[in-house]
Amino acid sequence: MSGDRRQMAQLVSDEAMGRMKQRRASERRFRLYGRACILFSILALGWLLLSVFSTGISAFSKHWVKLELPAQTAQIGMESNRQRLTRALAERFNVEGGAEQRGDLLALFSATVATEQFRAQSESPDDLIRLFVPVSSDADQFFKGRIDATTPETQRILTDQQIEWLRQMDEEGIISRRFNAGLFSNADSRSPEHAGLATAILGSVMIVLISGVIAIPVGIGAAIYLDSFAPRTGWAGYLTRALEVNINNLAAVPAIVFGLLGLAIFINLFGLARSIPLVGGLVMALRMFPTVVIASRSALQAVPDSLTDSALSLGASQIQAVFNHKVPMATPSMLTGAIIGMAQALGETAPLLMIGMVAFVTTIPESPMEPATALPVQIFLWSGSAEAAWADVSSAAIIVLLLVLIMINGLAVIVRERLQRQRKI
Amino acid sequence: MTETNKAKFVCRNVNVFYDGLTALRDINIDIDDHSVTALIGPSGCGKSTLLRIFNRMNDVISTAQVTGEILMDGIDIYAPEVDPVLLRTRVGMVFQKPAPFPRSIYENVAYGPKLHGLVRRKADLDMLVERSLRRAGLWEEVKDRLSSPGTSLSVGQQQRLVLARTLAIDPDVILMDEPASSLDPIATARLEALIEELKQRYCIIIITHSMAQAARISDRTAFLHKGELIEYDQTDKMFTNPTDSRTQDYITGRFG
Repeated sequence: MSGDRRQMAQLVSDEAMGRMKQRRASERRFRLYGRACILFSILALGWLLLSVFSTGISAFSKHWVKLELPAQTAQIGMESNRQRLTRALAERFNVEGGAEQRGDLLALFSATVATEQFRAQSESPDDLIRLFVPVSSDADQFFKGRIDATTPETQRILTDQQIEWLRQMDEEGIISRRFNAGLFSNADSRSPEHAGLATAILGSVMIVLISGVIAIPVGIGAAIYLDSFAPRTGWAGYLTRALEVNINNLAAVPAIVFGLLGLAIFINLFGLARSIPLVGGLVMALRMFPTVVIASRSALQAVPDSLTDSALSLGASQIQAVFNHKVPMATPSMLTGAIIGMAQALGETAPLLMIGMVAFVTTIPESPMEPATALPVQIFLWSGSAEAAWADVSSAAIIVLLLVLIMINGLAVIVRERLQRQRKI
Repeated sequence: MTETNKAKFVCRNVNVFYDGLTALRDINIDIDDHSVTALIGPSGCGKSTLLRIFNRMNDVISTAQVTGEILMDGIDIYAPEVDPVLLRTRVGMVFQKPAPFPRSIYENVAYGPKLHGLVRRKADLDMLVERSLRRAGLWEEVKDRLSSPGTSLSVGQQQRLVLARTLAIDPDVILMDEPASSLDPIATARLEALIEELKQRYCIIIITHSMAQAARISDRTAFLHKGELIEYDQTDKMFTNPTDSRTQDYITGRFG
């Protein structure tokens, strides 16, 4: 190297060598900055994923308890099933204390599920009632190691006695950890151990489908018209250009404004119900439309004019030249734009707040006309709740949302690759 | 130059404006059938604009405005009842850069005939594709791979493919806009031999930046400068004894 440099010094002047040194140094500096930027983005992304996954992953499983209760607990007077269950549990754990202590014991289990199972089996002739129920969210937090038994009793949600019971059950080996299928099959609930994403997932799917079905054909059609058929001269030309500028502006309008628009038009004017996926889909279609138009226009503009010119010179009409050659060439990029628009519709939260999709919905919608929530809104709702277990389920919901987004983007890549391979022939 | 009965195209007082700027001024030119007419001149002199008049490709540019009279076989091609789409089936065009469609070689050639419903049966279409490729001198090279993409050919082959594509719609006129500019000398020689052959059947108008090429292949040459037709005459005369000093300067390479 140094030998080369000495030889170079004979070829060029010292000033040129000096300038070259500066140029090389600035190139090295820029590379360094570039690497620092990349490192920063990787770290930021890694941190985000790590924090979401570390809290969220535990919500995909929960603890269940298997209990065998004596069945001889005959009904005393007007006692309800819940009261009988409480009594049976107290017997099982040798509780001598009063109602308060019994209540503490019952609070360790998912009381609704336990009562339901208890009622179903209490009529059966078996001498044992076998319950298999999820533990309550507080108890679940204890088994997941989120509750520190060494902190003073007054500063934690479980009493010493409750922790004693939980440890006893753990030693008996009747506690098991299972996949939390309810996270996907249940609707929203007041208690985090029951809360599921079924309503939100269905709502999101319906919103994305409705908005896609409306915005993609309309957006691509508008882009094709603006690109190849709209008048370019005279007054109509001004109108075309004004339209193009305004579609670009529309993409920059804050999302919540679309929510207001949806509220004013679809709900107040057309009288559609609040918090239904149909309205959500319509609003998202408005949101998606400019994205689809802009992506499709740039895809169409990227097709060389020589192709359409060739077709025209062969006697193709404008519409034949455009649809036989320009549109097929632009399709992969147009579809990518459409799928990006759909991903946008999936992740958007603000407009849905305006049209009342933040409601507490405990039913699973069967049509787009029934109330539902959407994934991002569900995350928003859950993350605002106080109990510690909500942090877990909202992180789990974030993971689900991210997975769906990754799937949609992966689909975009596959579609584009496949179409591009076809086009080459 | 006044034998209008023999001329394929007659242009009288043709002006072309782009957005109000004059691109061509008072062009009067008669173009013979079954001959090669070369258009020469420095870049931006209006050659391409003049060429695009004959198949109304200027219509594609929305700001372009054409005045004057352009007759093809005595018919005004800018008359309102003339459909430019139909005109282009009579006047084919080969562009500077070959732009094969991203389809198979066969589909490239078959596109025009299919568009116009020139043939009904698959066998006829096969024959038409073969005939067009033969005329363009490409058949021997591609007959075994008609289904491979047109874009996989070399640039010289692509240029002959787009020529075959144009021949397939059986036009009367072929317009060529610097067809050899991206070709190597061997491919250029092939193309020139082809043009020589094709002029028996077609009226060919060609733009070229190569004086030697114009001299070799054309019967008549038109020299344009700054939107005006400076001189138009027999090629032999233009290259040996031009009337205008600007033609002389351009041909001998003193400017342009």
